Amino acid sequence: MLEFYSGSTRMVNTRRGVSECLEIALGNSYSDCDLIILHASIGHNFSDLVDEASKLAPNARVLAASCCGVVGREGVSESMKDIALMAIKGKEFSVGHCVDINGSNAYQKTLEMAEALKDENPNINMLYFMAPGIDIDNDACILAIEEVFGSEVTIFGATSSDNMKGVISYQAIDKNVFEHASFLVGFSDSTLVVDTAATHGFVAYGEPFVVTKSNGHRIIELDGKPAWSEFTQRLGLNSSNNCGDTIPIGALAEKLSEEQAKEYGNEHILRVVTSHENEEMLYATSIKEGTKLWLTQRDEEKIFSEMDRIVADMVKRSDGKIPVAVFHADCLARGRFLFNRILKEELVNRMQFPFSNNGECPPWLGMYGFGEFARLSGKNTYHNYTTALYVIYRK
Amino acid sequence: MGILTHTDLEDLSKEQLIHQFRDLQLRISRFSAVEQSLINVRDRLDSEVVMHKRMNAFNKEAFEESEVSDFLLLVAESIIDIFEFEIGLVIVSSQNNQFSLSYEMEGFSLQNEEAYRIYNLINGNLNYYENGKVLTLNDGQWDDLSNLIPFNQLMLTRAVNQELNVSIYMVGGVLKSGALSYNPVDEKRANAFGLFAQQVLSQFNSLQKAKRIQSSEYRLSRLAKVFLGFGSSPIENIGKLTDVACELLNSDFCFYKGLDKIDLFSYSSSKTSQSPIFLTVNDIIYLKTFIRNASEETSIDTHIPPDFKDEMISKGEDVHQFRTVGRKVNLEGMTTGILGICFASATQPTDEDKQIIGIIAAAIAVEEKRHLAQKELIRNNAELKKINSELDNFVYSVSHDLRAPLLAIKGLLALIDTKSVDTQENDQYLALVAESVSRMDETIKEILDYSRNARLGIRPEFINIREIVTNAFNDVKYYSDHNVDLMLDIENNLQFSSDKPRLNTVVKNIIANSVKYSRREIANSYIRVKAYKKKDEIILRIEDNGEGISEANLQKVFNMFFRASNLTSGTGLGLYICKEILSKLNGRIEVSSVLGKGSVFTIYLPSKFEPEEESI
Repeated sequence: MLEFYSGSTRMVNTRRGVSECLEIALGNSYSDCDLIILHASIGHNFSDLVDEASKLAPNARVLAASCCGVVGREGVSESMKDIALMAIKGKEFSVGHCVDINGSNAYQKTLEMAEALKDENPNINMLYFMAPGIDIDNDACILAIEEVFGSEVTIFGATSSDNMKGVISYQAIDKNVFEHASFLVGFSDSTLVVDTAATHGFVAYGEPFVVTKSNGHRIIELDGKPAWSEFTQRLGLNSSNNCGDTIPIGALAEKLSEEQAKEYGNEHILRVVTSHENEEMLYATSIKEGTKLWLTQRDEEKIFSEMDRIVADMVKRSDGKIPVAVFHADCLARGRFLFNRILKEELVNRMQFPFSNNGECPPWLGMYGFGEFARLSGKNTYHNYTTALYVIYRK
Repeated sequence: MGILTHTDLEDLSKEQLIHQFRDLQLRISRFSAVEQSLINVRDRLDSEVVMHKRMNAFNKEAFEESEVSDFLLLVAESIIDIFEFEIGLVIVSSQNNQFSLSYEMEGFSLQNEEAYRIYNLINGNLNYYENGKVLTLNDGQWDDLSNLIPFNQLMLTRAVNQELNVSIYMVGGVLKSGALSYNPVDEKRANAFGLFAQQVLSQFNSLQKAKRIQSSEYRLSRLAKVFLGFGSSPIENIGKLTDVACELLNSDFCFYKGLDKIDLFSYSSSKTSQSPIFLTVNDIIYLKTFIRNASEETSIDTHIPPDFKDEMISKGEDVHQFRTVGRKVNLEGMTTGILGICFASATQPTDEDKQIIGIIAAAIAVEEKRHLAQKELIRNNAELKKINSELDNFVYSVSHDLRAPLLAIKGLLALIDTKSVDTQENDQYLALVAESVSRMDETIKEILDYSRNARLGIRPEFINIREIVTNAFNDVKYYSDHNVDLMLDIENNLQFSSDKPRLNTVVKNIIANSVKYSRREIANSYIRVKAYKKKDEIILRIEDNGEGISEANLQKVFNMFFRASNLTSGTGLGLYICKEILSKLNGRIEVSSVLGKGSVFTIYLPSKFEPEEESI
């Protein structure tokens, strides 16, 4: 049976930060740890990060992803030097990874990774997926994983990021650090189940863009005009601005079906543009020509009320079970770029408190990344600008 | 365009409505952007609140447990954490030119020399600015600082407390490789950076103050512990004091040397386990002279004892940085010893260090006083034992020597028959009574001489030694019916002062003995007296060719009531009194003798008599 332990810190020294997190999570008994999943802000040295973790827990597989901030049991931390980890004891898991993945080869690379993982461990019943944050087609990734494991196996996870510059993201597998890699952790502990949900709380407004020319996950034209210029002009910016400027205010909304909208509490699902190459915008999923994309506006009241709603629904679904661990992916645009510290901490408190047992928060590993994976209407779905919670229970 | 009403909209064409609609959309987007900017500002303010909270928490909770280095590391980490730099560097230049450096960044190495150059760079660039200003430097503006070349941008500031002579220099930097991820070093962070430096300076001063108090408390408690642990041996206690001086002053070695007393020396070395430093006798003499000759009570100078210097050179170590802090140890206004605290570096003792040295010196003085008192006590005890023993002997001998003639008189008086007509027999008895009375008188006179010497003060006057010897001989030459010649050899113009009655007693005792114990079987019995001055002493040599003294008795002749034989007359006090008198006169007496050939008594007297304090 898998056991989960978590820790987080804002310590700026990478090696000491890893050590502190492990101490918080496991006390002094790190040596019998089997898997460490690290989330660290982009300011950390990732080679040192995984090297220190491997040194302190020599028997553990070590996975790491960059992000814009972390959430742990200790609360939120969003600086250039945050670390959070989930330490797992137990053998019922397998790890797969692929390198040099991008939007154009996302399906093939993910398929190969998933197949290898399935070969290694056919009993996997839930998957933690970490994709690179820039230039990736996340729908293609989901499709490839479902191709191997079936659509009933829940995919939860995030995409790694930087501090919202849209320049770089890191992934590390054991002692190797990559810029365009994915990893997939398959859990095969039959006593565990995972429940997922996501919410954003934005409202679409105005006249939508229409994608008039696209290629896979790349939007080439909007409304018949070069995409990046049209997009930035509608945002009141100009084409010399970068994605760091557009991400906080440029969430694009796609219309959901009526059924999905009901579950989601919102008529739209949001998408982020993480990068652009001249006029081509790198969209986070495949996008078909003719798709309508609305600009959106944050609605603070809705953000809080929807958060309360999904958490209440999850607690209700848990039927009184106490979570053994919670993974959590949040959009980086919902962190320091969306709320001030007090509101954000309140938001995180409102998602953690209902899962607490006698005031004690379960092991919690969250990150602020570019995107989130959570089920919607029973299907594995990629989200942006959401808070996505993945609550693991023992049956 | 102003706010449109419903009526306005009805009047607009479709194109105008679309234009209005798009304008409205743009306003919403711009509102989002403005809102986002406000959130960013609030987030920055949040960071500053975190910064203040962190500093405040350090102030309240961590002062007692933390060292200055901990604080500086926290500052370096805060520069990275709060201001989002890749490197945080803080340099402190404080009193006595102490220079502290702390920085945080993996894989980055900065030597003190480089830190000095940064310090100079900041000083050079900020001199024209007021305190608290921030300087931002772009790539290429610090070519002379090789270790900083990998950085793309730097933000530098300083905060100065001129009153306390403490400066804080802070540097935040972004590496060229990290420039894409990190926010540019712009003016947005500058104000907070400058304020942070001021806050760090304030906290640093508070921490320094807290550390000083903590250090003082520790030092005082350590000293108190040493004082409370004092044993009965002052020398061991002084050893503990030099040990604690070494420890509290972090010196390399420490010593105390009594100036005139060879038995008071203590030496401690705090670094014996690392690189032992030993001073030779020459070194100690060298340092002792320096401290003793210093005009100030506490002297500080860079001195390198010669042997120590050689040793350091042989080890290839720097000998230019040796410093000695010397302190005279004064006892009741007199310098009784020197305390040396030595550093193999140019350590500058603080005022508190000097106070600690003063306390230790005072404690050593007290211990030295105890040491002297103990020595005095031991000496007095020995003296008292001797006196007690002599008193016992005296009482016994006096009672014996007085009682014997009394008993004789008592017996003789019983024999005298006053009714008898045989006056010749009675006359014989009376003659014997007279002899006994004479013996008693002699004994009592000698006791009086002894008592007088013990009780009366010295009255120095000019001495004519020829007259004293001649008078003494004339007084005693009839003690024997055998002829004894007196030969004088007195140095011309021999002048000195002493106590004449006492000297009379001494000379008369010795000459009387020479007469009494002259050999009848020889025809040329003599007493030869020679008097002369040698260096600072007057020497009086009295030689006879009498019976002499056996070797076994020679060392006992000056003991109280010693008589070589019961057959001899006399009390046995004469030579004892001579010895006591000469001791009182700061002189001494020696004897050499060959049994059957004669004796030589030699008296040594100071040519310039300096009486001790008189006790009456």
